[in-house]
Amino acid sequence: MRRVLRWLAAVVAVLVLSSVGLFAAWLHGTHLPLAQGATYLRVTKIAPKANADEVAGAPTGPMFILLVGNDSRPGVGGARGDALHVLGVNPKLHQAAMLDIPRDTCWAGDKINVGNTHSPRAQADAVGGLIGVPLAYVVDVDFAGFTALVDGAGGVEVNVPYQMHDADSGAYFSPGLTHMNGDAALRFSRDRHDFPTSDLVRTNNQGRLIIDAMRGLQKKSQTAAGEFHLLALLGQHAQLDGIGVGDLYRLGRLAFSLNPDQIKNYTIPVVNGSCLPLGGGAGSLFADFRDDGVLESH
Amino acid sequence: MAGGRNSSSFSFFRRGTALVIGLLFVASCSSGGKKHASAEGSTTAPNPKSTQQALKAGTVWMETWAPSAQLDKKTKQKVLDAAQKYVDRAYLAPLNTGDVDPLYDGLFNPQVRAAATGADRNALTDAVTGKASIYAQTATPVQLSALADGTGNLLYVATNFNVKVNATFDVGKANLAHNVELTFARDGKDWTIVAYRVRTSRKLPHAKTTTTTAKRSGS
Repeated sequence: MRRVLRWLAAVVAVLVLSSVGLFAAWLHGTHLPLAQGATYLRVTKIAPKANADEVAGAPTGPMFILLVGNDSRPGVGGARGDALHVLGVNPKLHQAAMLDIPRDTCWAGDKINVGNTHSPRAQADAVGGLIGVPLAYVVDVDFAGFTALVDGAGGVEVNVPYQMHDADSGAYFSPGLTHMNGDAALRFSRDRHDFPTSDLVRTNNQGRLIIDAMRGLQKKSQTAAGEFHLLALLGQHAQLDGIGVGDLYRLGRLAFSLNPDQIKNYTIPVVNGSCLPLGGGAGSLFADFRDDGVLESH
Repeated sequence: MAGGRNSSSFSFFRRGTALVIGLLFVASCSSGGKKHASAEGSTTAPNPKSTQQALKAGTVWMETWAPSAQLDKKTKQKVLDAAQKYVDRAYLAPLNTGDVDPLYDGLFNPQVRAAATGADRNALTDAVTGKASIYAQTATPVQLSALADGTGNLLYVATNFNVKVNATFDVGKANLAHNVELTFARDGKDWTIVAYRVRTSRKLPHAKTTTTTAKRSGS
């Protein structure tokens, strides 16, 4: 009887240990280092169909995506679109380009970033109207969401272009490749007092960070399992409006087919003022961007 | 003595039974139902002297933001069967008949079919090798990764495995090695390939080793 009990105890012990190990493995596979269930970004599908030129749901024609960093944070409401970037993607060429829109750019008699206080769709209407492109999606993130997402992705390697020493934003960086957590990435993105042209350099730096982040995510998604992990991260923390996970997967694969080193990051020309009018050359820049989503002559 | 012997035998039997039950429990728990029978056989007629190794499931990795989700046995087998068909039609059919199986195209979703049958065909198939007089094919267990949405509904299942072939042709011997990642999505009752990453190395008779890669998704 004792032997039987000993055997039973051994079997139960092995079962318990196996179950604990399995549970730990399961947790490891699905655990995301972010607050459970919190929503950190919003993805809105603007066009009824992202692109008419599709094969079985996959876009094949040029596509334009608006990336918005809004300034909503404790004590500051309104969610103005303080970081505005339009990513043009050409699936056939596997190329892309990014236009950086200064937040104070004039549109319809006001600063363009006001659009986001109404809705992502209103912000897309404003930016799309300015450049003359149909925006397919808007990805909108606030301060907390941005920080959490960067942390959730394990940080980002940013190639800091110059010395940064700004007390207002807390950006203290030396030139060169720098690993940043969410907080550091936010400080890097907010620094404008270090530069004579202020927000123009800042918005270009934001574009730089987005491309560097894309490069980092590509490295982490060399396998389907890596892609699925990122999608699970998005699924858990994104509010999807008019877009399914399948769309996200296709967009993700599309993004990962691009070579970040070949993505041109271009700040649109504006003229000085409190509300910045478009500068010379903006028309030809937009036309270059509009025709196929990439920049050939800029 | 007889009673003692019987008691000892019974005790041994009980111990053995407990051990077997315990191991079965542990095996079923530790694999989470990951083990399954080998995939369906080749759709092409191999040289009787040639040997093939059917794909078998290895570990399963699930990503989801649902409270729980799992890759059920039926789906796992369907995906494994689809991967086996790929091996049969893309790698073994050329060795058996001299060309890829006519049903090869049907394995792919329309999003990637044109590339799979066109630009990426050389990396995805062994059509270039021609018919072998004899070969031995082996495969590693298939690592399965699955993605389910917030309701636990399965969206994608990816298979990752290696296939090696030692083949003899009229002109000499060859070594073929494939690192294969196929991502499947449900297409009606079937699971079709919506994305792939493959790396193929070939050491053909009287030639240097060549390596080709192909990476494609439905966009």
